[in-house]
Amino acid sequence: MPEFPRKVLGLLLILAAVGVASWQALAVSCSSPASAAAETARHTAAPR
Amino acid sequence: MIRVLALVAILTAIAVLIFVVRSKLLGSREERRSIPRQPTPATGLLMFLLTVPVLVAAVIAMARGLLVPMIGNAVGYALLVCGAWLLWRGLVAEAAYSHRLVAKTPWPLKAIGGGLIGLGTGLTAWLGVGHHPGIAFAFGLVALLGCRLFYGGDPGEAKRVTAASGLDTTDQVLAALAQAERSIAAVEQSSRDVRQPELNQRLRRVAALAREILTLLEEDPRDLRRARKFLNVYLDGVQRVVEGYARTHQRAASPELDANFRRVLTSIEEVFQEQRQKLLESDIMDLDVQIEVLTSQLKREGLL
Repeated sequence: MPEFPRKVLGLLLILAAVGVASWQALAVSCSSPASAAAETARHTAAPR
Repeated sequence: MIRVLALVAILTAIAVLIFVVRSKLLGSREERRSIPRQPTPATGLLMFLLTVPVLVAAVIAMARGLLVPMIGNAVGYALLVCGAWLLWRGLVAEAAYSHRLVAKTPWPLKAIGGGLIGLGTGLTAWLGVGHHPGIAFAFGLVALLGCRLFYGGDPGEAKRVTAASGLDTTDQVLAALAQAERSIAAVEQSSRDVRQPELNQRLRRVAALAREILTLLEEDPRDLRRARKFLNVYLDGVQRVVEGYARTHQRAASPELDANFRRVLTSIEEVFQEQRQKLLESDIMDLDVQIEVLTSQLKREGLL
């Protein structure tokens, strides 16, 4: 793949993964404590 | 009011973080001079900036007593910052590798950095955000792929050199060049303690000439024996003289010492220029003779 489109695609993927995860983490921390804790506990609990 | 103060504190902390990271990424003046084509700091800064919200999230989660998000964000942030730092070091190593004519295969720092960023992103998405582990894994994978595409891979092969006998002398050449580079850096470091502008300028010229000679030796490192002799005798001698002068000069100013040092520097500069010329003409035999002449001259002056 040529260098320019490769870099643009790479940058988009980084923004989509690292950027989105970072801002979502911040949004969850700023949301109400009860909902944030429940949301985290729901997905970190052992799968049944 | 408290919210405004908190916002100002967070913005100040982010500004300080950006300033510190940027100055670290730019590196020392010597490092920038030895690698002319450094990667742009913005490339490295991007990853550090993207991770800042995770740090803020970890602090907020701690303040609100959310244990799991706090641990997830804190560990995720640590992994992301380590990964960003390794990616930057990988870019610098790649620039040095491209600049050098003889080089070992650098450590796969970009690959390790990308892996840590993928891991940090996945962990943040899982414990910090609360995504399903499968989704968090996808986040990590996309981050890893993005790093691989944006920053590229690590250099794979060493740039080797073989002697006339056919032996691989890459390690010896690299060790000699690294030692010479250290000596030049020590000369530049000591020259900062010399307050006289004229002597300072001469020292800078000597260091620049030494770097040029190193480049020429790197271009044609086949005769390692003579190259090593030049590097050890010349640069070690110059380093000791300059360090000794800088030390003595700080304690007591002496016009006689200054005059002697000026004379030595003048002869070193002249001989270095001749050496560069000789190397350009590939006259290795003359180079050896000149080394002997300078050695005995330095010995006569009591400097070796």
